[in-house]
Amino acid sequence: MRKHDFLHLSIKEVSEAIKTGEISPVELTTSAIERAKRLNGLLNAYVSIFEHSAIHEAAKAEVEIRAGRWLGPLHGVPLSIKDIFYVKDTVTTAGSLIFKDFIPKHDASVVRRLREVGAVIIGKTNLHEFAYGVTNVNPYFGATKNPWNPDRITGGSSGGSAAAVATGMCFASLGTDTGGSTRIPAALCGIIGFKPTYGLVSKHGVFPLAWSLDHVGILARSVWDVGILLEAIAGYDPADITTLASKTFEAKQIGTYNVKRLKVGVPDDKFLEPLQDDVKKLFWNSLKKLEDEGWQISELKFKYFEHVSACRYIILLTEAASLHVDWLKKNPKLYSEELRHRLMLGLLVPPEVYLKAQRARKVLIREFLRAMNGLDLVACPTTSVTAPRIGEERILVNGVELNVRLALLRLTEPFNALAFPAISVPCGMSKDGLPVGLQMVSKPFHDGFLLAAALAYEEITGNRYKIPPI
Amino acid sequence: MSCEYEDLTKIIKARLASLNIHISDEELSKLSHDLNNLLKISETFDEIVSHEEEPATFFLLRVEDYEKT
Repeated sequence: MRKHDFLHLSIKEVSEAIKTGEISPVELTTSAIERAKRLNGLLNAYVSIFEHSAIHEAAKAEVEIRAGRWLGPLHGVPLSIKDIFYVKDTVTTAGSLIFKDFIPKHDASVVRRLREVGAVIIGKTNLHEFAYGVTNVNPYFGATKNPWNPDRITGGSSGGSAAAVATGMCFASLGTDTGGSTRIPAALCGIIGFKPTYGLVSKHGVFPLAWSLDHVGILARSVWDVGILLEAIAGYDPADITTLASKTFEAKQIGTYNVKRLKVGVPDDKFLEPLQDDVKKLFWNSLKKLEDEGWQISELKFKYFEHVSACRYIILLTEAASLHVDWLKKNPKLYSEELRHRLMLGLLVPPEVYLKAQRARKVLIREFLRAMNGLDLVACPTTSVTAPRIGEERILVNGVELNVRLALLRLTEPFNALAFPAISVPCGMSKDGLPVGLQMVSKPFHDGFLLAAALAYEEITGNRYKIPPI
Repeated sequence: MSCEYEDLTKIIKARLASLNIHISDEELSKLSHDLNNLLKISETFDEIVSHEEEPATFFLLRVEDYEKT
């Protein structure tokens, strides 16, 4: 196998090659950086590439592995990080002008944990301004382009990460997810995007968007790879009070669950529709394959999705505004017009409305758990549409005109307010050659079970990551 | 929570002015429209919170909340 061929392997596969000495971390990292530099002009996935430090980290990994000190499946593996995570002594822009020169003095906890298991950080990826949006058309750093069709968006806000993973510029990436920002770009770029249960992964050192909705997400090319990264980053962090001491994760759990004949609830058409024809067809085709294998598909009885989305909307507006108010006062021109408007709107939300949204949220979590009684999973398409064109603001979906933002996030956002774990997995390709994603959701802290179910889905349907023609 | 549209624009202007944020008439009109919608949406929460089973506690996700259900 030529060294460039390694770049599209899964972490599970490449780590074996590293461990046995078939490929060296330095060669692998050099190849990933070469590829990133070559493709970045076209896709705009990275805002910075750490050529010098990445080669240095890879060389260190190589020495350790040769000396028999293998630290695990991420040792010597090149990864990327969304440019909203603090990485010590490197510029962390959060996709904004305000932070264009900001250099953190420490790593985000999850970045530190990745380093502790020997991962090689090769660069920071492009994102929507302050992660507050789902197109990844960044007014300062440019739009990230979809590797399946560069006229299309990647989706966001972790769009740079999705493009980098999909094209073999790295093996996996850390993103964030406040309304679908990991799952949406994963679906639009044909890879896997996972948002763990709120409280399983530390957010310390990740610039916030909305504290009670923010999650760290993982973008990868296989379900096992998600598990490998989750094992490295999950668990209690004294620096983040929302993490739970009792909850950890081990990738080997994935193989221990019984995932035969799972019971899957599908929301009714009131929530699902409108869907693009191809999205609808591929979603139901996939469910049919699962049903043929004995999975039981039934309608999810939950009538409050609209309320859940309303809670998220108000909580997002208010928390984001409270975070940005001082910068907004001092430097309003350093925000895009769209973002400035949303932040000002958030400043106008009466406190009792915000608090009522949080109280309603608790009731809705309880009601959603009740709706999941007797079910193992909930499934729906990840997005209503395939990747829209860059610059497109409104889109016709099966006869209904929707704002692109809504068309992309309306099926993912409820699970941020509910805080349940959710994953987007590939679900096939549309007639015009664009990827479609299927979203699965499980009960809180059943993250390992969700990954096991996603793995079974991959095996039954044959829907897996495909290399984009770039 | 409901109030007349004109009152709303006055409230918005006053609130933003108190933060030393100044906006154009066009921005004011857009904000009034969006805030009006937001307040209408928020009215739907009344029905939801009426289903609280015990005196409300401040929102914090805890494992126990999931496991007792």
